[in-house]
Amino acid sequence: MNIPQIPLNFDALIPEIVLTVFASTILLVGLLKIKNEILIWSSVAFSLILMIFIPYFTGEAFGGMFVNDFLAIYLKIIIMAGVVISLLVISSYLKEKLIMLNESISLILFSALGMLLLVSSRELISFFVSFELMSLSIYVLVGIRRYDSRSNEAAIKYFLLGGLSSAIMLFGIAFIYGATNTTSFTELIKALSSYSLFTLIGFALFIIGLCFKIALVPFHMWAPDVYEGAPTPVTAFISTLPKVAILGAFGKILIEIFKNYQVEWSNFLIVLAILTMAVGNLLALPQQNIKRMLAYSSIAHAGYITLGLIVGTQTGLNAVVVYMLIYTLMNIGAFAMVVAFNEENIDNYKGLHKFHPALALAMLIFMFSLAGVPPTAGFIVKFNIFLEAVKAGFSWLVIIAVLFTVISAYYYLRIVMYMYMKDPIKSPQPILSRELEIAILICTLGVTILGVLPVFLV
Amino acid sequence: MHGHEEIAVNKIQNEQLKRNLIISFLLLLLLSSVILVSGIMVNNMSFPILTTLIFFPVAAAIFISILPRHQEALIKFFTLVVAIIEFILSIPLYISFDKATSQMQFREEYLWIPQWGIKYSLGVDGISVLFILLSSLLTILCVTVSWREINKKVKEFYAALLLTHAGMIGVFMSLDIFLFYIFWEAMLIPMYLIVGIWGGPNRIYAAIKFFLYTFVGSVLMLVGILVLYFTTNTSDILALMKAHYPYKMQFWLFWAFFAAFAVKVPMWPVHTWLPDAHTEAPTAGSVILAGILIKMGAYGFLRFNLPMFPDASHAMTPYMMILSVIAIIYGAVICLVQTDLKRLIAYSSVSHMGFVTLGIFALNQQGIQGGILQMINHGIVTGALFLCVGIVYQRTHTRQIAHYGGVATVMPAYSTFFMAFTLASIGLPGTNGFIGEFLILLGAFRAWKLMCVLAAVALIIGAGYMLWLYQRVFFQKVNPYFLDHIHGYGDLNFREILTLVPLLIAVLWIGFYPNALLSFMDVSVKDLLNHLNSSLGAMK
Repeated sequence: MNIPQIPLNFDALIPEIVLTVFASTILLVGLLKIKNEILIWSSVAFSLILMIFIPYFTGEAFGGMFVNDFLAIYLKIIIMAGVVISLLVISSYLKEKLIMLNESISLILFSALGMLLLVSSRELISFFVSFELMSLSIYVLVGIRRYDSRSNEAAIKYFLLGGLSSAIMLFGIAFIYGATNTTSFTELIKALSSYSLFTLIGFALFIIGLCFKIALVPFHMWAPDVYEGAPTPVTAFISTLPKVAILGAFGKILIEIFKNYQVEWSNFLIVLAILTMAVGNLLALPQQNIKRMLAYSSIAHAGYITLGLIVGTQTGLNAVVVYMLIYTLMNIGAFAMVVAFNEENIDNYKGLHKFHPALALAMLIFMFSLAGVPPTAGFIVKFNIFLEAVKAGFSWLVIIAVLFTVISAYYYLRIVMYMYMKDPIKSPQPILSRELEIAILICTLGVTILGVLPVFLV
Repeated sequence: MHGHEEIAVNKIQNEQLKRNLIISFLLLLLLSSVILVSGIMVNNMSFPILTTLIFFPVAAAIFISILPRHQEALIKFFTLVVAIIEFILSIPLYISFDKATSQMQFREEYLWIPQWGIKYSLGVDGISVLFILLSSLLTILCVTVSWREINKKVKEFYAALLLTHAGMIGVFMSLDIFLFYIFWEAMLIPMYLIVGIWGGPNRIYAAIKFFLYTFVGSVLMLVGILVLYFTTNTSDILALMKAHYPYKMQFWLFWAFFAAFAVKVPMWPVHTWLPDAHTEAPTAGSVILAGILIKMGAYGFLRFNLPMFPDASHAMTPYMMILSVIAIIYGAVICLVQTDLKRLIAYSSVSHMGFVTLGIFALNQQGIQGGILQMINHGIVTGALFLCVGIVYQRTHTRQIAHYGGVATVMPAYSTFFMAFTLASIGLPGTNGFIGEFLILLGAFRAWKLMCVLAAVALIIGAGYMLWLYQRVFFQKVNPYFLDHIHGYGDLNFREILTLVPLLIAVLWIGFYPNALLSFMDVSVKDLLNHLNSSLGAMK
């Protein structure tokens, strides 16, 4: 047997290793009686430090199976920033509901670990394993409220459908391996230059598996139920960060490995994008539950984002990635407001401005940002995506997308209208903790300041 | 006894507050005049006057939002001072504007988004400068007229008012198409809130309708902007004007931009948001809508459609003129059957803005100059009429024409003002309305005689509905309903007279000496037409 000598180069992997150690420590330390505050703030501080130091760990490991290129690092920063905000949001909620803090914190950190590995992996097996690490942690998080039947139902649903999609994806990977005899991306790029039926089938299954996870129509059925049933801070987490990681990796795979199939997958994704925008926006209109409405809205956003993938260029992928940054800020922000108001029925948002003008203003900013109205950052990133699509000659698709944006404005504005223009039905009982306030402040400032000074563009 | 003491203490505190307010007022005025003088001294123009004009009200709005909620008097006073300073700051635009050139003046340019090569680029020319002055003037009046009318969420109202003003003048100043779009859309948010929060009974419907109509138009323009930006690789408006595009592209871009501007103007048949929004908005909102906001649409035609897509503009002229004449006649006829004071004036706006677009698409010197002048006139006159309606609505809380009658005997000074503005709206010689409409008809006559005749006929209907309205509201026997509801208010008070007088002066001033404004736009319009015709020649 001749085993090739592969330079391991663990240096590039240090952030992930440290994160693993820290997450395990948090899990163990929970057995001791330690104050919740210490757990929360130490994890927040750790994630923040990790976020700051991630850019210093560039390079490859394991012979090019793990690569920290510019895009991967950008995505990792978004993910860690999202983790910081999610931790702040989730901790206040969990303290309120008396749920085991250390478990949820370590689950969030483990799924973040999965995401970090996912965006860097350049090999199908490690791609799949990190994908599963991320997903499994999230299934548990969704069901973290053990005695709440809705939370349980959501967890089971998510697990079954997620498991199905993973199986489909794995099946696809098997086909690809069977056709090409390799799982490494660099090898695949060479091997896939020739057309073959097996690679096409494998490739289709692989894409469908990923589409499940980012909830593109018609693979979106799980999303509204899961988003509604999961505890709200968990919804904030699962509606944003997994999408960041998967879309980043997805785009990379599409434009690097399956370049030769671009006609096929871009046509496939065009259909999916139109369907997603249509279903997401139209079904968001009649919703009475704000979490469900935001669920459909995030489906619709996945539709806009897909436009950036369809383009099939590096700049298109960059547009997707910066969109994810702002999407994370505004979506977590919007869900954080739902956590703060502790109210799921949209009718109960009537007249909120009377009681909490500052919070209502923050919600207004998130809503306008989600609708893509300047001067919020939501507009800048939408502009960026649409610009890439126009450049690639998809003007007609952009016209469809902007018309759906108008439809979306209606349901976002409805929230604003309820808060500002209607008389209150009942006085709201917001749950406000310092952590939540900080999280909301970060999101609000991010959405407004980055909207005026878009320094995050690449 | 205790209660009395408390009242006495309150009184003293109030007095102190007032004194402090007046002192701060004077200080601020002083400060502003210093800035003004330095602005003129440094001239042409290292002092960033345009940026100051945009961001001073924004900063003030942020400051208002941190003021304590219960200090309503302070908030009002502060906003008033800010509005006055804003107006004083905009005077250098009038004084040191060089009328002999069509170049952009008071230029400011910084790189804003380097990744896209988008610049923060401001400047004004003869077409846009007057709107900034008008907006500053109307904002002051909006503050004074809202003094008593707005009594809930006072803080938010004045902040929204200042933000709207900032957004609107930003639209007129931007020389970068991306920046233009940002202001164009950003202004929608405070305006949506103004209509929706402080408006009449049907305000929510009106606000959403307003937002969605405008948003549909805007996003289609956004696609146009994306295509323009992608093909030319620049977002600089001046560079975009110089480029020449193939006819087919011009055609589609013309319609993309048309979608946004036609909704804003509003042209028939996308005008239906306007009566609702104007009617339901609070007085200040109606004044801003009628005074400035709908002018942004016509301004857009002048800044984008005509210079950037000249061939398409020439080709589309007949359709545009027909749409304009339909709006003129349709608006006027609808006015005849209105039973609601504000709604009537709102529909008259549709008619008057039809004149504006008719003038613009006549594509000759008289027509375009008349169109621009008529925009200013309409802003002044319709703004004044809305203020008048607001003044009386605030007393009686009814807008139904049938509830009025004989107002002239109860409020003589008010009736005089209303008469003057009615006559200006009809276009009586000696008022500003005459000059604008005359120029437009002259231009339209040169372009297409039939349209001119039809529009001129509609002028008669215009006189009909306005005078009939005046007769029903101000003459005849005093309506007992009106007397019951006037609630002891008398004629105009000092604040209200101060609100109306500047507009009356403007009406007569422009009426007798139109060159005061026409001279501003002369060269710019000439240049625009040269550009239009040269490109037409190039095509042939």
